[in-house]
Amino acid sequence: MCSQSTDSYNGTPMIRGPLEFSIRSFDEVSSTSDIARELAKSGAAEGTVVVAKRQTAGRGRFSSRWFSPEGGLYCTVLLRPDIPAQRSHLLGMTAGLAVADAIEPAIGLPAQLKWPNDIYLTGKKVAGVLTETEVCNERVRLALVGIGINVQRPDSGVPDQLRGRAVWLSELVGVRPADLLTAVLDAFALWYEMLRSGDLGGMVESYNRRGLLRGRDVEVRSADRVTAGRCRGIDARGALVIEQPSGSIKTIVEGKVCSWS
Amino acid sequence: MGIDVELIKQLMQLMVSSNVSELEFEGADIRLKLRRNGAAPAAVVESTGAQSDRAALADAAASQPVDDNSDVATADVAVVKSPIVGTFYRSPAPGAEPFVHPGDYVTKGKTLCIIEAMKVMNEIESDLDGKVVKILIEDAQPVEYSQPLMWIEPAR
Repeated sequence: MCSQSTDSYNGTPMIRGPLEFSIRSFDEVSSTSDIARELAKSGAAEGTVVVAKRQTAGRGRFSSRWFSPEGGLYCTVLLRPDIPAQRSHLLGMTAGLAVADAIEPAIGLPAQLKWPNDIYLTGKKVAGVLTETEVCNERVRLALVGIGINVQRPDSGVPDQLRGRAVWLSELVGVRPADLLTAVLDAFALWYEMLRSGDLGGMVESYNRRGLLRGRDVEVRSADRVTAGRCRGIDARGALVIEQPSGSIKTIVEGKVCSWS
Repeated sequence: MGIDVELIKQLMQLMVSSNVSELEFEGADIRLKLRRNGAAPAAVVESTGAQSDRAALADAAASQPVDDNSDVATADVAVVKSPIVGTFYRSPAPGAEPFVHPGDYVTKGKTLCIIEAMKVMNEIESDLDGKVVKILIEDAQPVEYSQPLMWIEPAR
Protein backbone atom coordinates (compact mmCIF):
# COMPACT_ATOMS: atom_id res chain seq x y z
CA MET A 1 0.00 0.00 0.00
CA CYS A 2 1.26 3.45 -0.79
CA SER A 3 0.17 7.00 -1.28
CA GLN A 4 1.40 9.46 -3.89
CA SER A 5 3.22 12.54 -2.62
CA THR A 6 3.16 16.04 -4.02
CA ASP A 7 6.45 17.24 -2.59
CA SER A 8 9.54 18.59 -4.33
CA TYR A 9 10.82 15.22 -5.59
CA ASN A 10 8.21 15.07 -8.33
CA GLY A 11 8.76 16.99 -11.51
CA THR A 12 10.33 16.77 -14.91
CA PRO A 13 12.78 13.97 -15.63
CA MET A 14 16.32 14.65 -14.42
CA ILE A 15 19.10 14.03 -16.90
CA ARG A 16 22.20 12.56 -15.26
CA GLY A 17 24.75 11.60 -17.87
CA PRO A 18 23.69 8.54 -19.84
CA LEU A 19 20.95 7.61 -17.37
CA GLU A 20 17.69 9.50 -17.47
CA PHE A 21 16.11 9.43 -14.04
CA SER A 22 12.38 9.64 -13.58
CA ILE A 23 11.39 10.25 -9.98
CA ARG A 24 8.28 8.69 -8.48
CA SER A 25 7.72 10.15 -5.05
CA PHE A 26 5.53 8.82 -2.24
CA ASP A 27 4.74 9.83 1.32
CA GLU A 28 4.66 6.31 2.70
CA VAL A 29 5.30 2.90 1.21
CA SER A 30 5.96 -0.57 2.54
CA SER A 31 9.34 -0.56 0.83
CA THR A 32 10.55 1.50 -2.11
CA SER A 33 11.86 -1.73 -3.67
CA ASP A 34 8.39 -3.28 -3.47
CA ILE A 35 6.97 -0.33 -5.41
CA ALA A 36 9.83 -0.39 -7.90
CA ARG A 37 9.20 -4.09 -8.52
CA GLU A 38 5.54 -3.40 -9.24
CA LEU A 39 6.53 -0.63 -11.63
CA ALA A 40 9.03 -2.92 -13.33
CA LYS A 41 6.28 -5.45 -13.98
CA SER A 42 4.34 -2.72 -15.77
CA GLY A 43 7.34 -1.96 -17.95
CA ALA A 44 8.91 0.97 -16.09
CA ALA A 45 12.05 2.18 -17.81
CA GLU A 46 15.62 2.04 -16.58
CA GLY A 47 16.28 5.07 -14.41
CA THR A 48 12.92 5.04 -12.68
CA VAL A 49 13.55 6.04 -9.07
CA VAL A 50 11.06 5.39 -6.28
CA VAL A 51 11.56 7.65 -3.29
CA ALA A 52 9.52 7.78 -0.09
CA LYS A 53 9.41 9.89 3.04
CA ARG A 54 8.73 6.83 5.17
CA GLN A 55 8.82 3.07 4.81
CA THR A 56 6.68 0.83 6.96
CA ALA A 57 8.65 -2.29 6.05
CA GLY A 58 12.02 -1.07 4.84
CA ARG A 59 14.29 -4.05 4.65
CA GLY A 60 17.88 -5.03 4.86
CA ARG A 61 19.34 -8.41 4.07
CA PHE A 62 16.57 -11.02 4.10
CA SER A 63 14.17 -10.34 6.98
CA SER A 64 16.17 -7.67 8.78
CA ARG A 65 14.42 -4.32 8.99
CA TRP A 66 15.71 -0.90 7.97
CA PHE A 67 14.52 1.74 10.43
CA SER A 68 12.75 4.18 8.11
CA PRO A 69 11.08 7.08 9.96
CA GLU A 70 10.30 10.38 8.27
CA GLY A 71 13.39 12.50 7.72
CA GLY A 72 15.53 9.85 6.03
CA LEU A 73 16.22 9.27 2.37
CA TYR A 74 14.77 5.98 1.13
CA CYS A 75 14.91 5.24 -2.56
CA THR A 76 15.21 2.43 -5.07
CA VAL A 77 16.75 2.83 -8.51
CA LEU A 78 15.29 0.58 -11.18
CA LEU A 79 17.84 -0.62 -13.73
CA ARG A 80 17.78 -2.92 -16.71
CA PRO A 81 21.54 -3.37 -17.00
CA ASP A 82 21.84 -6.52 -19.14
CA ILE A 83 25.27 -7.25 -17.65
CA PRO A 84 26.69 -10.71 -16.89
CA ALA A 85 25.33 -12.11 -13.62
CA GLN A 86 28.90 -12.48 -12.42
CA ARG A 87 29.08 -8.68 -12.17
CA SER A 88 25.76 -8.26 -10.35
CA HIS A 89 27.38 -7.75 -6.96
CA LEU A 90 29.06 -4.62 -8.27
CA LEU A 91 25.67 -2.90 -8.55
CA GLY A 92 25.55 -2.66 -4.77
CA MET A 93 29.12 -1.39 -4.62
CA THR A 94 28.23 1.24 -7.21
CA ALA A 95 25.49 2.52 -4.92
CA GLY A 96 27.82 2.49 -1.92
CA LEU A 97 30.36 4.60 -3.79
CA ALA A 98 27.64 6.98 -4.97
CA VAL A 99 26.37 7.56 -1.42
CA ALA A 100 29.93 8.17 -0.21
CA ASP A 101 30.50 10.63 -3.06
CA ALA A 102 27.28 12.44 -2.21
CA ILE A 103 27.68 12.84 1.52
CA GLU A 104 31.39 13.65 1.77
CA PRO A 105 31.14 17.19 0.32
CA ALA A 106 28.05 17.90 2.41
CA ILE A 107 29.60 16.70 5.65
CA GLY A 108 33.23 17.60 5.08
CA LEU A 109 34.32 14.25 6.51
CA PRO A 110 35.51 11.10 4.75
CA ALA A 111 32.91 8.38 4.33
CA GLN A 112 34.03 4.78 4.66
CA LEU A 113 32.72 1.64 3.01
CA LYS A 114 32.32 -1.57 4.94
CA TRP A 115 32.34 -4.57 2.64
CA PRO A 116 30.35 -5.11 0.70
CA ASN A 117 28.36 -1.86 0.63
CA ASP A 118 27.52 -0.31 4.00
CA ILE A 119 28.44 3.35 4.38
CA TYR A 120 30.00 4.60 7.60
CA LEU A 121 30.70 8.05 9.05
CA THR A 122 32.70 8.60 12.23
CA GLY A 123 32.81 4.83 12.74
CA LYS A 124 29.01 4.42 12.67
CA LYS A 125 26.65 3.26 9.98
CA VAL A 126 24.93 6.08 8.12
CA ALA A 127 23.53 4.28 5.08
CA GLY A 128 22.91 0.85 3.64
CA VAL A 129 22.27 -0.67 0.25
CA LEU A 130 20.26 -3.75 -0.64
CA THR A 131 20.11 -4.87 -4.26
CA GLU A 132 17.68 -7.36 -5.76
CA THR A 133 18.07 -8.63 -9.29
CA GLU A 134 16.35 -10.90 -11.75
CA VAL A 135 18.72 -13.14 -13.67
CA CYS A 136 17.82 -15.06 -16.80
CA ASN A 137 20.26 -16.87 -19.07
CA GLU A 138 23.13 -15.67 -16.86
CA ARG A 139 22.37 -11.99 -17.47
CA VAL A 140 20.91 -9.38 -15.13
CA ARG A 141 17.66 -8.31 -16.78
CA LEU A 142 16.40 -6.19 -13.89
CA ALA A 143 18.06 -4.69 -10.83
CA LEU A 144 16.43 -2.84 -7.96
CA VAL A 145 19.08 -0.95 -6.03
CA GLY A 146 17.63 0.07 -2.68
CA ILE A 147 19.36 2.81 -0.69
CA GLY A 148 18.56 4.00 2.83
CA ILE A 149 20.34 6.99 4.34
CA ASN A 150 19.95 8.24 7.91
CA VAL A 151 19.45 11.98 7.45
CA GLN A 152 17.33 13.56 10.21
CA ARG A 153 17.61 11.87 13.57
CA PRO A 154 13.99 11.30 14.64
CA ASP A 155 12.76 13.24 17.66
CA SER A 156 10.81 10.17 18.72
CA GLY A 157 14.03 8.29 19.39
CA VAL A 158 15.73 5.32 17.78
CA PRO A 159 15.60 1.58 18.45
CA ASP A 160 17.94 0.31 21.16
CA GLN A 161 19.89 -1.86 18.75
CA LEU A 162 20.91 1.20 16.72
CA ARG A 163 22.15 3.29 19.65
CA GLY A 164 25.88 3.83 19.41
CA ARG A 165 26.03 1.97 16.08
CA ALA A 166 24.20 4.32 13.73
CA VAL A 167 24.69 7.97 12.94
CA TRP A 168 22.38 10.55 11.33
CA LEU A 169 23.67 13.29 9.07
CA SER A 170 21.75 15.88 11.12
CA GLU A 171 24.09 15.16 14.02
CA LEU A 172 26.88 16.60 11.88
CA VAL A 173 25.28 19.06 9.47
CA GLY A 174 21.89 20.00 8.06
CA VAL A 175 21.07 18.30 4.74
CA ARG A 176 17.78 18.15 2.85
CA PRO A 177 16.90 14.64 1.67
CA ALA A 178 15.86 16.02 -1.73
CA ASP A 179 19.29 17.65 -2.24
CA LEU A 180 20.98 14.47 -1.12
CA LEU A 181 18.98 12.42 -3.62
CA THR A 182 20.16 14.63 -6.46
CA ALA A 183 23.79 14.22 -5.40
CA VAL A 184 23.45 10.45 -5.00
CA LEU A 185 21.92 10.02 -8.45
CA ASP A 186 24.55 12.26 -10.05
CA ALA A 187 27.30 10.07 -8.64
CA PHE A 188 25.45 6.83 -9.27
CA ALA A 189 25.08 7.57 -12.98
CA LEU A 190 28.83 7.93 -13.36
CA TRP A 191 29.75 4.74 -11.49
CA TYR A 192 27.01 2.80 -13.23
CA GLU A 193 28.36 3.78 -16.62
CA MET A 194 31.80 2.52 -15.58
CA LEU A 195 30.28 -0.73 -14.39
CA ARG A 196 28.45 -1.26 -17.65
CA SER A 197 31.55 -0.51 -19.66
CA GLY A 198 33.51 -3.09 -17.68
CA ASP A 199 36.06 -0.48 -16.62
CA LEU A 200 36.29 -1.48 -12.96
CA GLY A 201 39.75 -0.18 -12.05
CA GLY A 202 38.55 3.23 -10.85
CA MET A 203 35.75 1.65 -8.87
CA VAL A 204 38.07 -0.72 -7.04
CA GLU A 205 40.60 2.02 -6.36
CA SER A 206 37.96 4.40 -4.97
CA TYR A 207 36.47 1.62 -2.87
CA ASN A 208 39.80 0.59 -1.38
CA ARG A 209 40.66 4.22 -0.59
CA ARG A 210 37.51 4.30 1.55
CA GLY A 211 37.70 0.74 2.84
CA LEU A 212 36.71 0.66 6.52
CA LEU A 213 38.13 -2.82 6.99
CA ARG A 214 41.43 -2.39 5.17
CA GLY A 215 44.34 -3.14 7.48
CA ARG A 216 42.05 -4.39 10.25
CA ASP A 217 41.65 -7.85 11.72
CA VAL A 218 38.31 -9.20 10.58
CA GLU A 219 36.15 -12.27 10.93
CA VAL A 220 33.87 -13.19 8.04
CA ARG A 221 31.12 -15.76 8.37
CA SER A 222 30.17 -17.57 5.17
CA ALA A 223 27.55 -20.29 4.74
CA ASP A 224 29.99 -23.06 5.57
CA ARG A 225 32.97 -21.48 7.34
CA VAL A 226 34.43 -18.57 9.30
CA THR A 227 37.52 -16.85 7.94
CA ALA A 228 39.71 -14.68 10.16
CA GLY A 229 42.73 -12.56 9.32
CA ARG A 230 43.97 -9.14 8.26
CA CYS A 231 41.87 -7.44 5.58
CA ARG A 232 43.84 -6.31 2.53
CA GLY A 233 40.96 -4.56 0.78
CA ILE A 234 39.06 -5.82 -2.24
CA ASP A 235 40.43 -7.36 -5.41
CA ALA A 236 39.61 -6.53 -9.03
CA ARG A 237 36.39 -8.56 -8.82
CA GLY A 238 35.19 -6.90 -5.62
CA ALA A 239 35.99 -9.91 -3.44
CA LEU A 240 37.29 -9.28 0.09
CA VAL A 241 40.97 -10.19 0.42
CA ILE A 242 42.06 -11.59 3.78
CA GLU A 243 45.57 -12.51 4.81
CA GLN A 244 45.28 -15.37 7.27
CA PRO A 245 47.67 -15.78 10.23
CA SER A 246 49.49 -18.50 8.26
CA GLY A 247 50.27 -15.93 5.56
CA SER A 248 47.95 -17.49 3.01
CA ILE A 249 45.62 -15.17 1.11
CA LYS A 250 41.90 -15.89 1.02
CA THR A 251 39.43 -14.08 -1.21
CA ILE A 252 35.81 -14.06 -0.12
CA VAL A 253 32.93 -13.52 -2.48
CA GLU A 254 30.10 -14.32 -0.14
CA GLY A 255 29.86 -13.81 3.58
CA LYS A 256 29.03 -11.44 6.39
CA VAL A 257 31.70 -9.51 8.27
CA CYS A 258 30.78 -10.32 11.85
CA SER A 259 33.58 -8.49 13.63
CA TRP A 260 36.52 -6.19 13.01
CA SER A 261 39.09 -4.46 15.19
CA MET B 1 30.32 -44.46 -33.58
CA GLY B 2 26.54 -44.71 -33.72
CA ILE B 3 24.40 -45.46 -30.71
CA ASP B 4 22.19 -48.52 -30.75
CA VAL B 5 19.12 -47.48 -28.80
CA GLU B 6 17.97 -51.06 -28.36
CA LEU B 7 21.37 -51.97 -26.96
CA ILE B 8 21.12 -49.14 -24.40
CA LYS B 9 17.69 -50.30 -23.34
CA GLN B 10 18.93 -53.85 -23.00
CA LEU B 11 21.89 -52.67 -20.92
CA MET B 12 19.54 -50.77 -18.63
CA GLN B 13 17.31 -53.78 -18.17
CA LEU B 14 20.35 -55.98 -17.60
CA MET B 15 21.60 -53.64 -14.89
CA VAL B 16 18.29 -53.92 -13.05
CA SER B 17 18.02 -57.69 -13.38
CA SER B 18 21.65 -58.31 -12.40
CA ASN B 19 21.72 -55.63 -9.70
CA VAL B 20 24.65 -53.78 -11.30
CA SER B 21 24.72 -50.21 -10.01
CA GLU B 22 27.07 -48.52 -12.46
CA LEU B 23 28.33 -49.15 -15.96
CA GLU B 24 30.68 -47.00 -18.04
CA PHE B 25 31.47 -47.30 -21.72
CA GLU B 26 33.97 -45.18 -23.64
CA GLY B 27 34.26 -45.17 -27.43
CA ALA B 28 36.16 -43.01 -29.91
CA ASP B 29 33.79 -40.06 -29.72
CA ILE B 30 31.39 -40.82 -26.94
CA ARG B 31 31.42 -41.77 -23.30
CA LEU B 32 28.38 -43.42 -21.83
CA LYS B 33 27.70 -43.78 -18.14
CA LEU B 34 24.78 -45.71 -16.72
CA ARG B 35 24.13 -45.57 -13.02
CA ARG B 36 21.23 -46.79 -10.97
CA ASN B 37 20.36 -45.78 -7.46
CA GLY B 38 16.94 -47.29 -7.12
CA ALA B 39 14.57 -49.07 -9.41
CA ALA B 40 15.70 -47.67 -12.74
CA PRO B 41 19.04 -46.68 -14.27
CA ALA B 42 19.74 -43.21 -15.66
CA ALA B 43 21.95 -42.38 -18.61
CA VAL B 44 24.19 -39.41 -19.27
CA VAL B 45 26.48 -38.48 -22.15
CA GLU B 46 29.69 -36.92 -20.88
CA SER B 47 31.48 -36.18 -24.13
CA THR B 48 30.74 -34.54 -27.44
CA GLY B 49 29.28 -37.37 -29.38
CA ALA B 50 27.50 -36.70 -32.65
CA GLN B 51 24.18 -34.90 -32.25
CA SER B 52 22.30 -37.92 -33.56
CA ASP B 53 23.98 -40.09 -30.91
CA ARG B 54 22.88 -37.77 -28.15
CA ALA B 55 19.37 -37.61 -29.52
CA ALA B 56 19.25 -41.39 -29.72
CA LEU B 57 20.52 -41.68 -26.16
CA ALA B 58 17.96 -39.14 -24.99
CA ASP B 59 15.25 -41.24 -26.61
CA ALA B 60 16.55 -44.32 -24.83
CA ALA B 61 16.71 -42.57 -21.46
CA ALA B 62 13.30 -40.98 -21.97
CA SER B 63 11.74 -44.40 -22.16
CA GLN B 64 12.90 -45.04 -18.59
CA PRO B 65 11.19 -43.53 -15.55
CA VAL B 66 13.00 -40.65 -13.81
CA ASP B 67 14.69 -41.83 -10.65
CA ASP B 68 14.33 -39.14 -7.96
CA ASN B 69 17.07 -40.73 -5.88
CA SER B 70 19.68 -40.62 -8.61
CA ASP B 71 22.36 -37.93 -8.62
CA VAL B 72 22.98 -38.25 -12.35
CA ALA B 73 20.89 -36.18 -14.74
CA THR B 74 19.04 -38.10 -17.39
CA ALA B 75 19.53 -36.97 -20.95
CA ASP B 76 16.04 -35.49 -21.12
CA VAL B 77 16.28 -33.03 -18.24
CA ALA B 78 17.66 -29.51 -18.36
CA VAL B 79 20.22 -28.79 -15.66
CA VAL B 80 19.82 -25.36 -14.06
CA LYS B 81 23.30 -24.16 -13.13
CA SER B 82 24.38 -21.36 -10.84
CA PRO B 83 25.38 -18.28 -12.85
CA ILE B 84 27.51 -16.97 -9.98
CA VAL B 85 29.39 -17.91 -6.83
CA GLY B 86 27.20 -17.31 -3.79
CA THR B 87 24.74 -18.77 -1.33
CA PHE B 88 21.71 -20.72 -2.54
CA TYR B 89 18.31 -19.96 -1.04
CA ARG B 90 15.08 -21.70 -1.88
CA SER B 91 12.85 -19.01 -0.34
CA PRO B 92 12.61 -15.22 -0.55
CA ALA B 93 13.01 -14.96 3.24
CA PRO B 94 13.76 -17.27 6.16
CA GLY B 95 10.72 -19.41 6.90
CA ALA B 96 8.89 -18.34 3.75
CA GLU B 97 7.45 -20.78 1.25
CA PRO B 98 10.10 -22.02 -1.24
CA PHE B 99 9.90 -20.63 -4.75
CA VAL B 100 9.49 -24.15 -6.18
CA HIS B 101 9.10 -27.74 -5.03
CA PRO B 102 9.95 -30.94 -6.90
CA GLY B 103 6.98 -31.79 -9.08
CA ASP B 104 6.03 -28.14 -9.68
CA TYR B 105 5.44 -27.02 -13.23
CA VAL B 106 7.25 -23.78 -14.04
CA THR B 107 7.10 -21.41 -16.95
CA LYS B 108 9.85 -19.34 -18.47
CA GLY B 109 10.61 -16.40 -16.18
CA LYS B 110 9.43 -18.10 -13.00
CA THR B 111 11.81 -17.52 -10.07
CA LEU B 112 13.47 -20.78 -9.07
CA CYS B 113 15.77 -19.67 -6.25
CA ILE B 114 17.97 -16.87 -4.96
CA ILE B 115 21.75 -16.81 -5.12
CA GLU B 116 23.13 -14.17 -2.77
CA ALA B 117 26.51 -12.65 -3.44
CA MET B 118 27.83 -9.59 -1.65
CA LYS B 119 24.42 -8.50 -0.38
CA VAL B 120 22.90 -8.69 -3.83
CA MET B 121 19.93 -11.04 -3.93
CA ASN B 122 19.87 -12.57 -7.40
CA GLU B 123 16.59 -14.22 -8.30
CA ILE B 124 17.36 -16.96 -10.80
CA GLU B 125 14.61 -17.38 -13.35
CA SER B 126 13.73 -20.42 -15.38
CA ASP B 127 14.61 -20.10 -19.03
CA LEU B 128 12.19 -22.82 -20.08
CA ASP B 129 8.76 -24.30 -19.39
CA GLY B 130 8.79 -27.64 -17.64
CA LYS B 131 8.55 -29.68 -14.46
CA VAL B 132 10.99 -29.38 -11.56
CA VAL B 133 12.31 -32.91 -11.15
CA LYS B 134 14.88 -32.48 -8.45
CA ILE B 135 16.51 -29.78 -6.31
CA LEU B 136 20.15 -30.64 -5.82
CA ILE B 137 21.26 -28.11 -3.19
CA GLU B 138 20.16 -27.69 0.40
CA ASP B 139 18.88 -24.30 1.47
CA ALA B 140 21.50 -21.73 2.56
CA GLN B 141 24.43 -23.68 1.12
CA PRO B 142 27.34 -22.18 -0.84
CA VAL B 143 27.41 -22.78 -4.58
CA GLU B 144 30.14 -22.39 -7.15
CA TYR B 145 29.87 -20.95 -10.63
CA SER B 146 28.14 -23.41 -12.97
CA GLN B 147 27.26 -25.81 -10.16
CA PRO B 148 24.03 -27.73 -10.94
CA LEU B 149 21.14 -26.45 -8.81
CA MET B 150 18.12 -28.35 -10.04
CA TRP B 151 16.71 -30.41 -12.88
CA ILE B 152 13.80 -29.39 -15.03
CA GLU B 153 12.08 -31.76 -17.39
CA PRO B 154 11.20 -29.62 -20.42
CA ALA B 155 7.55 -29.42 -21.41
CA ARG B 156 6.91 -31.36 -24.59
